[in-house]
Amino acid sequence: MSIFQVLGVLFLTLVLVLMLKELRVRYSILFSAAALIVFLLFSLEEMKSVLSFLTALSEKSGYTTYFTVLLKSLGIALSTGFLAELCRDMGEGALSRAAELCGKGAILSLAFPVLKDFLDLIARAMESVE
Amino acid sequence: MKKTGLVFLLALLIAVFFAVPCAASELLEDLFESADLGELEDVLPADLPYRDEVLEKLQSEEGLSDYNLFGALAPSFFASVKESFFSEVRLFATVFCLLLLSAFFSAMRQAFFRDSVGDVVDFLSVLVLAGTAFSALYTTFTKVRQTLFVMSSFLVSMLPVTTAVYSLSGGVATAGAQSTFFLGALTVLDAICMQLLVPLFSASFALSAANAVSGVDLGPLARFLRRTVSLLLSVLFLVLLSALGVQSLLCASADSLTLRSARFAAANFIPAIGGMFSESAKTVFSALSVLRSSVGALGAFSLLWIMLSPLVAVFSRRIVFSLLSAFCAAFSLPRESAFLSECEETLGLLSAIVLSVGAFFLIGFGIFIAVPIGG
Repeated sequence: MSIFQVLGVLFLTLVLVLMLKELRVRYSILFSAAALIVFLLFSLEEMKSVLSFLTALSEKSGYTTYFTVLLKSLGIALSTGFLAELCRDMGEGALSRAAELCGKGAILSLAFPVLKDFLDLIARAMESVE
Repeated sequence: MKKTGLVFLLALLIAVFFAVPCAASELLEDLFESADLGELEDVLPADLPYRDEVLEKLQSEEGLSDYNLFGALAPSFFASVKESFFSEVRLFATVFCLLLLSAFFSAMRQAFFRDSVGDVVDFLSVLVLAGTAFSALYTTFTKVRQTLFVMSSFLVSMLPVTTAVYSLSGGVATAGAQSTFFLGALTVLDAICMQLLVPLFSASFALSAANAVSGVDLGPLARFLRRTVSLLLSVLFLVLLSALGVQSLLCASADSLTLRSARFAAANFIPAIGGMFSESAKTVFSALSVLRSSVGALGAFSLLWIMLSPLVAVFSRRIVFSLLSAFCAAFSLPRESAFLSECEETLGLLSAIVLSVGAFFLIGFGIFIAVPIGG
């Protein structure tokens, strides 16, 4: 599918959600959530070639861990961002905050090994000062 | 003044390298035979660069007789340059891709992430980039520290050789003064470089790394430490070079006077054959000065060889960081651009330390070759 087709489908989805909102609000929520997941998967499919190139490059460079961490955090941030926006659109501010908190926690837990390596590097540099 | 110094340095280097094929080959061969090459494996330092190639060459049938030591070492050197080039290309590609991801994060942040999630993602991307850049920088720093140690070991082992050659050439005062001076210089350099400059540099490196990821502005402090290191280097080598120059000239003059007096006394107070003694002494000292030139040239060449590989590594890494910093500016990543520029400045300081130490001892070898003794 080309980008214009995707945008066209997105516009149609918007129209359908607005129509459903008039009839059944809960169905419009589920429909927009389903559409969101489909579009996310579609965009990931489009980025597959870029992701596989970056993965191959990271394997050759020897910094596979860092690339994996960055890509995972990108995925977590995107998912968290979309879900939080969906919650806000549905008027659930508290749930959106909770989603953001979970996302931040997940990204920070990914960052801990990298931070530890970084602090080890600084400690090794400071060892020669003693 | 700078151009004059540069021309002088180039002339000195050309004189050193052109002296190599003119050395007394038979005398060197005799010296190696009497030195018993079978023990060379125990004598050569274990961490000497290209040790296996040098050992293989010296123990081969040709030995040093055809002066193709450069030919034996050159393939290893060019192989290490090639490996260094590929490693720099890998590093550049890795950091460039990380920068692309960071730029992508930055763009996505404005569209999709709220401030809180965006801050965490920013922190992670800066942390990953800083980790990659600083681990590459630390590898180079470790290599330079190892090079300084190897240079120091080499010079300590060269000192008895130069002292012996000076003494044989009739420069007894110069031998004593030079060996004392170089031992003192090595001690001072070890104390100041390894105990002060390298720790200051390490602290500057740690501050730059911490500045890159934390919100505290530690950059000015890191820059202050780097300026202190470069100032100390300038003062130290100005003092050492001045002392070396003055001392060499004074001692050489004293030795020349002693030798001329001895030859005059031999020529005038020994009847009949005194003149022969004087003339033959002149010939012997001329031959010994050729030996001195060869030893000095080999020492200078070895020192240059030790310095060359790490300098190539430092300069190539500097180019990589400079390019990456420029790309950061193009991708609107100011924080990343700032710490990559700091990495480049840090590498500049590293190369200055190696070049200063190397230049000082190269000038020392140049003086060893060039100072006239024996008239």
